[in-house]
Amino acid sequence: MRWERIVLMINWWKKWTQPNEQPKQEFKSISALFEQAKKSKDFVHYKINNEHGSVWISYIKTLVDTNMLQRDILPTIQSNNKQSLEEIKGTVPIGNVKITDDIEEIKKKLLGGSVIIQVKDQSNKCVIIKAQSKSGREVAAPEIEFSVLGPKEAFVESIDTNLHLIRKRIPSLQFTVKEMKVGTTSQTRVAVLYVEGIANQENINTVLQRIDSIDFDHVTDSSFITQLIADDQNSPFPQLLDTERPDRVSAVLNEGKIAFVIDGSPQVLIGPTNFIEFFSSFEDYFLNWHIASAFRLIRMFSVFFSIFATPVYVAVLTYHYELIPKDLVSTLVTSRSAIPFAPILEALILELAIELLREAGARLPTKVGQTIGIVGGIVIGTASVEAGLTSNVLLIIVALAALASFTTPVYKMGNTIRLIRFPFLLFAQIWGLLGIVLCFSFLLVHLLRLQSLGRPYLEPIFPPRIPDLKDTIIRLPFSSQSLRPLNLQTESTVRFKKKKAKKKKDIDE
Amino acid sequence: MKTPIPDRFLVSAGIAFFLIHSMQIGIGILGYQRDIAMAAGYDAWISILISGISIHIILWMMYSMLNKENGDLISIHQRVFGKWIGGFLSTIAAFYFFFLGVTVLRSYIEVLQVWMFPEINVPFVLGAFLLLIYYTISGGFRVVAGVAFFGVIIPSFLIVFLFYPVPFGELDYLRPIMNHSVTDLLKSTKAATLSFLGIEVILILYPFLKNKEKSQKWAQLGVLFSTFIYTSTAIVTFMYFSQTQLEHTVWATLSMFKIIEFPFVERFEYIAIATWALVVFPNICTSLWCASRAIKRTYNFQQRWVLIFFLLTSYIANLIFKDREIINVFISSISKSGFYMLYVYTPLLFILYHLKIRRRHKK
Repeated sequence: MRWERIVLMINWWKKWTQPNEQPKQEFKSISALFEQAKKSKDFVHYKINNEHGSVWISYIKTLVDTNMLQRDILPTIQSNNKQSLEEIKGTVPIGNVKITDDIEEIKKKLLGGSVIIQVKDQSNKCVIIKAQSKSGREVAAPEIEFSVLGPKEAFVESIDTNLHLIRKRIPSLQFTVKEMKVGTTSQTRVAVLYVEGIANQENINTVLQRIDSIDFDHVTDSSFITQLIADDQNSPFPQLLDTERPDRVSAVLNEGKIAFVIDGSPQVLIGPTNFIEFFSSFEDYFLNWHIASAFRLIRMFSVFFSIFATPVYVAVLTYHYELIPKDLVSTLVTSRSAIPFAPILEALILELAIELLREAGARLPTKVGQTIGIVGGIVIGTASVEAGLTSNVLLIIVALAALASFTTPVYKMGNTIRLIRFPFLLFAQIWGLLGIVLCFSFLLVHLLRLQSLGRPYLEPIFPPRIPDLKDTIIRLPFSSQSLRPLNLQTESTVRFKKKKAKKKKDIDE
Repeated sequence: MKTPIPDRFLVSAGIAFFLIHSMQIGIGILGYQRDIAMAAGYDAWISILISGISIHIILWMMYSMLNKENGDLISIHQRVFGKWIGGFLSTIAAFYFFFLGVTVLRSYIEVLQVWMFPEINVPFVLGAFLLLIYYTISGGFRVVAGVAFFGVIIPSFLIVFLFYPVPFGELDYLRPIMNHSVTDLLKSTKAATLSFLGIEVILILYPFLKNKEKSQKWAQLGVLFSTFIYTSTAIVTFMYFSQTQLEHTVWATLSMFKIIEFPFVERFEYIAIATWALVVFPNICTSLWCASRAIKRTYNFQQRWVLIFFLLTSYIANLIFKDREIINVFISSISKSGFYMLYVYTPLLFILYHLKIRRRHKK
């Protein structure tokens, strides 16, 4: 009895541990395919009798555009007085009609929303008419990468709409779309876009090869692809830029980058990218270069502030209070005199509270979320200071650091920046300022090791490529942006011809 | 070098500037002034210039060998001394690089103990440093070159503060110029060269540079920049401290950082010492990379395991040698061997190598 149970357990364990792949279904004939499909309620398969015999129609109701079916397909078939497949193909007023007897293709088309028409029930040969219903969001204004100026179009979930949005911005025959299917069950369409003659062939090959080698069952969003093809999958830093702006995508395609559009995802991926690019918003190009550069500088500063502010507070108050000048000490002492906790504890509590607020705000509907922000920010903040749990100086620092972290235009990078300060806090508590420098060194080495599609992540800072600095921390005017980034090793390096003579005119001439 | 190194592991020639410069500016600059002033007094800044020039010449010798060989020290050794003696000498060189790294690490931890954290848990902080070094070197030479680059760029803001004490200085301390004998100057030159140690790394990392022959310009510029920093710091120090004061100041540069004040920061030296970790750590990485690379090239061992061996050894060594006397003996013997390696061994090798090449051509 007991022995049997052990055997059972062993068997179960074997079954559990051994890879147990779902057997791939091979259908011998079209009727076997339909037999399987009929198990689902939304599969429609029926006969229409016309003057010369019967025609079988089969489709998946939930995928097919019924309007199109009733307006264009059914009338032709019913009134058709000839009955071979060729004639049906010739008379249906829809393009891209196909005759085939390849079961695998029929299955794919059926699941892709096509209508299958057979003349004789048993024969494998049939006409496939594409009648996919397209439901989805309308193209709307970008919400994540909102800009006051510039185009107000954002990607939607449909790959065809997205491709349309990009394609109409690049009217060129060199613009190439390579399409692939990814995911064993989801069969998600992935389109790789690049401009031939500009994009580096090696980069294109890397992308195609990496997407090709993805082995995953269900790819629902572009972020899956990012995680699956990233150079270092254990890094908290995003290694592909995602954007919802078609104008940004078309601009970087012209720079020589590669974009991939994934069906079902309103985010398009761009690579190879670099660290600095995550802090540039596309609006920077709509503004005058002085102003854009100033905003970029503010953003870079806020990143540093948001990472280092609280750790420095903890380090200084725990180890190096000698650093604080006399006049400032009294302010700090009064604010901290009633606090029962060590600086690290105080900082952790506040940082966690802010993270809590943010997470709560993100999970709730917009209207409630705002309320939570106000309640949390004002009420909890004031109350915790008055209760003597935290000092108001730290409250200011933490709130500013949180605010600063939201200036990062790319959401994924913003998340990373917010989380990266916790290791810094830990190191600051252990070794003070030295700990911060040590942790910074770890971060630096990590960033140096990272690559985006095989290109260095910290470029143009390291390896130092001075020409590429024209569009990083500061954005120089368009007149000095005539060359494509060196990092991309583009096939053609010139974007536009620089004005031949920039001769300065004399006064009053 | 039989198989050339793939292109993606190479770094551009300009990085040679940062590699050489970051190797030269290490822990020495925090307190070299007392040692050089010992013999030549306040004329010692002249001896820095002299030793700077001599380093330029030595570097040129190294490049002339490397350019001919288009390889590294190991292949030069093999050509000149044959497989066995050459391998032996390469091993010595590898251990020299290793000890160079250990010395810097040990000295930095000592600075930490003296200036910042008297109670610091040495095994713990040492472990963190070695982990960081392992993480860096295992990323390959490109990462090592990267930290060398940032180790020059980020702390460069400190250069401004080196001149902070100038308004408080006395120019008269420097006068009269040249009131010391040539022998005194040369003695002080010997002390000064210790600060310039580190250019030997070019012997190992040369094959990893693109445009190898062009990189000499950058490497020489790196030496020039180091000479500039050492000389100007020395002059500022000599102006700020009187000679008797300086005799009692071990870490003169740090003492000068002490006077810097801002509305929001007092005791600036804390910031300087913490930032100095960014100067010291690339220095150690480069020397340990060179050490493990040399062993790998000589014996065909896996560099990763050599590196782990070196790191463990340096961990244990650093913990065992706690006694100040032993450390001093150790550090001074390393600097002495560095001195002989630069000024005796390199010219010797230079002559032998070119004789060998010429003889081969005659045949």
